[in-house]
Amino acid sequence: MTTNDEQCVTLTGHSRIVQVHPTRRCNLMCRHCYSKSGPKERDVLELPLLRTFLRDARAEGYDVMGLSGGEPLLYPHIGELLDDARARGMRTTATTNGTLLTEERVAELVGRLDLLAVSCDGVPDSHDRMRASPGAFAKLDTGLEVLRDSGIPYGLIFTLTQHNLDELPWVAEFAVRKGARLLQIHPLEETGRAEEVLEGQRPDGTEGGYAFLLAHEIRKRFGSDLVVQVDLVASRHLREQSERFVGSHAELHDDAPLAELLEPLIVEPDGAVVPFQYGFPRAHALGNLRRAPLAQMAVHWKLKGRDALAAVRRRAHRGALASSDETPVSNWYEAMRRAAS
Amino acid sequence: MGKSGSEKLFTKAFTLDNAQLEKVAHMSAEYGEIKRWCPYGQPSIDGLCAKVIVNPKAVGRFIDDLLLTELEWDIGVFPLGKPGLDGVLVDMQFGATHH
Repeated sequence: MTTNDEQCVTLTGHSRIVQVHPTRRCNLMCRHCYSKSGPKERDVLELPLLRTFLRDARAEGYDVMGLSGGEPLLYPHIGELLDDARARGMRTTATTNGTLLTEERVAELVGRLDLLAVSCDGVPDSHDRMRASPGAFAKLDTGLEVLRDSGIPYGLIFTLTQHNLDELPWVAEFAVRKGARLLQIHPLEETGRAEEVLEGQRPDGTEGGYAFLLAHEIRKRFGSDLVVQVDLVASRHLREQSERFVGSHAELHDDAPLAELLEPLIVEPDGAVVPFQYGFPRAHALGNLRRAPLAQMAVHWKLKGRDALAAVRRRAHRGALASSDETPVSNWYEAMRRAAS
Repeated sequence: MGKSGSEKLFTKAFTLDNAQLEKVAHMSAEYGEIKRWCPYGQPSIDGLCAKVIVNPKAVGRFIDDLLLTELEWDIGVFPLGKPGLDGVLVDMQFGATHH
């Protein structure tokens, strides 16, 4: 749920997204990583398992597969997985740390990706510090040149913390200079490694509010050259469009596609399928792909899990509204995570 | 831990460059007589209102030099003296007072 859905349409349309984290393996150990991914992690979801998942997800109405991780470029079956999704009529995106964008790897992705999102966390020094890797920005910079030459549409993702809003204008200029079409501003999630090493750096309502305003200025400055998306919701929308947030979809029958009831749907590297966001409390997980296919989970969830999640939505909405007088924006998924915990 | 991003952003966006302000002060003293010099802002200066009476023959050079500063400014220029022009009041606003 973002603040400018209408602008996102230009890249992603009205999408029903499954976000797949096929591995926690990564060449970096970023300080803000929500999944504690790193070079020592070896867990990998098997390709046949994910093929079955995609078949079921498509049947349940999902039409976009987003790959994340870990570093998805290190997933050994990335090409086959993207091909499978596209063969089923799904659009494909992936999120990368940008340090592995060699000509060979990028060539493998041509024709298989509709959008590649590349993380960029500020000016070079800040980026390297967040990535815990000196030289990470230099690799990103080189990789973006390769990406631009490849013709794959791409965007930058900027993780907003309590302390880095002042670097956002620089990142926006860098994005345009490098030919990125999207700038996504995503508030830091204090989970995973971030919970341990970046405690207290989640942006507060003031930073979120100013990020909102700054995004508006960036849109005015760059116009159609750069779509700017902020993963926050204006408190005004929470009040005026409450049905959009707490809608129980009671009018929909149990045989309605899962995508109409639950989106985005997340697959974690251990096979768990959870609502909305990586790390969402497991009490609300639909199940695990290693034990049951999505088709089976969906039937069970529509009968047993739907009402519980509707209650979470209502609690999250009440909580977000209660603080809306103090803060002009809310992190809706964070609010739901808190309400579900 | 340190300033928030928005505080740093505001400091970058609105704080006037001290070196540039010094340059304006030197120019004002060199070309005329400073009648009013009011800096605004805490902890750093983000606005300045100044009035300077400049020798009419030096006004052109004074404005030229102002143009060379990297500050955003508004000025009003008022001729002084009757019947002959004996001075020019230059009313300047920089930064947060700039409208």
